[in-house]
Amino acid sequence: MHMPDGFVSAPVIAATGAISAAATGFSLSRARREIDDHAVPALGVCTAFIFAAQMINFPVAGGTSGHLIGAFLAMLLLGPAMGFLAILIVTVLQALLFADGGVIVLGTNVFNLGIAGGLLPYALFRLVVRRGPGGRLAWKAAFFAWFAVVIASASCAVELALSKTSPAAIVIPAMTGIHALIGVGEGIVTFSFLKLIESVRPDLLAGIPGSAAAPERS
Amino acid sequence: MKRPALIVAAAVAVGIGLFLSPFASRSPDGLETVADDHGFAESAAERSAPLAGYGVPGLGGGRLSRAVAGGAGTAAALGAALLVGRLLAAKRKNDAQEETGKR
Repeated sequence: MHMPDGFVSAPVIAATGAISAAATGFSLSRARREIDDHAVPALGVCTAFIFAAQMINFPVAGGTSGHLIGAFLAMLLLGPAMGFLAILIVTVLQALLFADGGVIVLGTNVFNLGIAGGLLPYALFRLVVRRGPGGRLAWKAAFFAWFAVVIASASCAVELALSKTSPAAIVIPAMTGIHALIGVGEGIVTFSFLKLIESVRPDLLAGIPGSAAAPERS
Repeated sequence: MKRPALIVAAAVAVGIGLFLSPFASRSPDGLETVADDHGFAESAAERSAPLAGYGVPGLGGGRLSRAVAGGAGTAAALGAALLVGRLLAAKRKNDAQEETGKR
């Protein structure tokens, strides 16, 4: 759902761009405190996977295709700051090298994919695993991965409506409807990936709140 | 993760970009479908980029072109993230040294 230039109005670009800039500053300063030589290759590999995965469009209903976003899963594995940097790097490269998503609306696309589809579902996931009953980590993550795609598409739709590109009553149900289908792919991949890692390298999940390998919080 | 495992993982990612991307669906994505169905697709600004549309100029629009673009893009993503990560890690070490210097 990378938006090209021309779909959203200047005020929407300015507002979402400012929020994305703030999130970038926050992520850089936090990543600077967290990162060690160990985490650098993990950031590289994760970013490469997001880029590759976003190229693999799979068919969904009615001649439409979708691809993974990967921001939520990256945040689970790298933490929110480095996960955000991963999706940011991918979105910048897509816009500059591949004309996939506009350059003027870059901040808007980063907002939709990295904040609405990343930081927000990550924060909600963390709240649920800390406050709610334990266990079933992969199921919870799968749900929030699906939710991430739907909320990112809703954010996109609201921006289109605010920009008067398409009426809210049309674009919001249309965008969230098709992405509720596309998001199932995100949920399945997130679930399978976590189950696989859980069985072969559970230590890699130590950073995920609520995982069996995570340190107990009092 | 140990170094060999990371190298394998990086190779798998570039391999996906190189060998799987040519076989990805070319149907319009969710936003493009909605834009077509509800008549705002023509608002999109035409733009050029070195590898616009995940194709390499001169290689046409086929699978080879897409494979090269996918492999190059994945490698570029890997390189850019490693660069950002290294810069941040170097700054962290700098900060730590300044801290101990003050004491």
